[in-house]
Amino acid sequence: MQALARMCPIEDILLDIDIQSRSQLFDRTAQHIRERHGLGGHVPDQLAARLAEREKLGSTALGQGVAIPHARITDLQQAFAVFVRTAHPIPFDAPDGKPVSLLFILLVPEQATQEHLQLLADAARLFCERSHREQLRAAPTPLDVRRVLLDA
Amino acid sequence: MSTPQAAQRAQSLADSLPYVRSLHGHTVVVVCGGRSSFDPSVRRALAQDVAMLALMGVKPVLVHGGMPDIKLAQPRRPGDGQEALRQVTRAALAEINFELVRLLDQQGVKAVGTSGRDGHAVTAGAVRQAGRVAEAAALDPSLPALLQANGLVPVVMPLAPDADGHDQPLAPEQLGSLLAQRLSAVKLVLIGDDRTGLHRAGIEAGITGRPALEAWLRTQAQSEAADMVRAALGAIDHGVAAVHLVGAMQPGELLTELLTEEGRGTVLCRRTGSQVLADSGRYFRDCDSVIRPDFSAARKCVVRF
Repeated sequence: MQALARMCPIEDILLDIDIQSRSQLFDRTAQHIRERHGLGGHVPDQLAARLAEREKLGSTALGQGVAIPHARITDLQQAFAVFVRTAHPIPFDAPDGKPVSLLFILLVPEQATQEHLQLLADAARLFCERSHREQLRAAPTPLDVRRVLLDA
Repeated sequence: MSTPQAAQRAQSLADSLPYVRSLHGHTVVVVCGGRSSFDPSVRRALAQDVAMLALMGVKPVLVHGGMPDIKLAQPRRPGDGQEALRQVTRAALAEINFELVRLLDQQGVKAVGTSGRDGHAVTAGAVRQAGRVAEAAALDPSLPALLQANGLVPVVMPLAPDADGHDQPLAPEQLGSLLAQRLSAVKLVLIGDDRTGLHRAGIEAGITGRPALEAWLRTQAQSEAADMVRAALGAIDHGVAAVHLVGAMQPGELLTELLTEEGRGTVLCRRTGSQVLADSGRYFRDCDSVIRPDFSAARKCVVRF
């Protein structure tokens, strides 16, 4: 999980975000990436749409309140990861029918490499452990979330 | 100003709102089989949780167990004692059914007790194995659907006539599974008892998929939990999105399982994490790497001829 923790400094850990739907989540993520990394041009415009497109293949929710939305972005030069904990769980077509409140959102270049796919696999593996999920739900600050990633 | 405890209770209710919303207006079939139905405290806890679901706008259907553990003395002639056994079984199941309806009524919910004979709802099949109960061979969901449409909670006893018109006790898990399928339930909840020992039997808590439970069933076909697992697999195969396997009923167990992120049970879903990764594999199919089921990413192997 060290790579995942490296990709996700505390500035990219958003806690208790007040959103009500998947589309609001993707818009909020695109806005964060745009502001945080100073992206201009057509790259940030695609983010929300590409995330929504990936969901059409099948929901990225894993059940038990967690999801790993991800998308390939044209002309993106490096991968970005954002950890989001919503203030209220949101509908996400999860396999167990439950809404989702913990998400790792991964944006990777169009030609994703093994390293990028390993980030996705690490996020899935992190979320599979109940102890991690409980710690992430209870973490009071982004620093505490980051500690969970580093210790996992 | 509210006390901290009252504020905390109110916050818990508010926190459950997204989960209530996801189940509102949908059918959830709850089966409390095994020996749990004999325990008055279990019946009270169950009725309380089912009543809460109904009052929140979920449409629960309750199937109970309670088959008396009776062994007949060696009959002098074949068929001796069968009618007496039927009468005792009917009385035992009717008593539990009546009690559950009464408990739900006390909680402010209108409930109706039914058996397979009511409205020709269920026909029992033949008993396949000595010492086992029959399974439902045919089920018409019209009666429970009618009750639900009129704001009533069906409480179904596992008893139905067979082809010869004799009342036969049924496996409550299989009956509940069939009801969930025919009523297009979004969830089936199968509650065992301390004897079932889900986790002792090697079924881990959390989300699981068909392959894991099939593998378990191959080596544990005689386990107390095997009927629950078969019923769960049958439900998933016929359209129910998720089945919750809960070890034992305690106060609040059902609400925790359905109205929080995760309870203590095992959840069998039609769609699993492996399928999410498989979808991602298709999404990244033209890249040079793949995600394996063991959560590792690897470069694709290129064979040149």
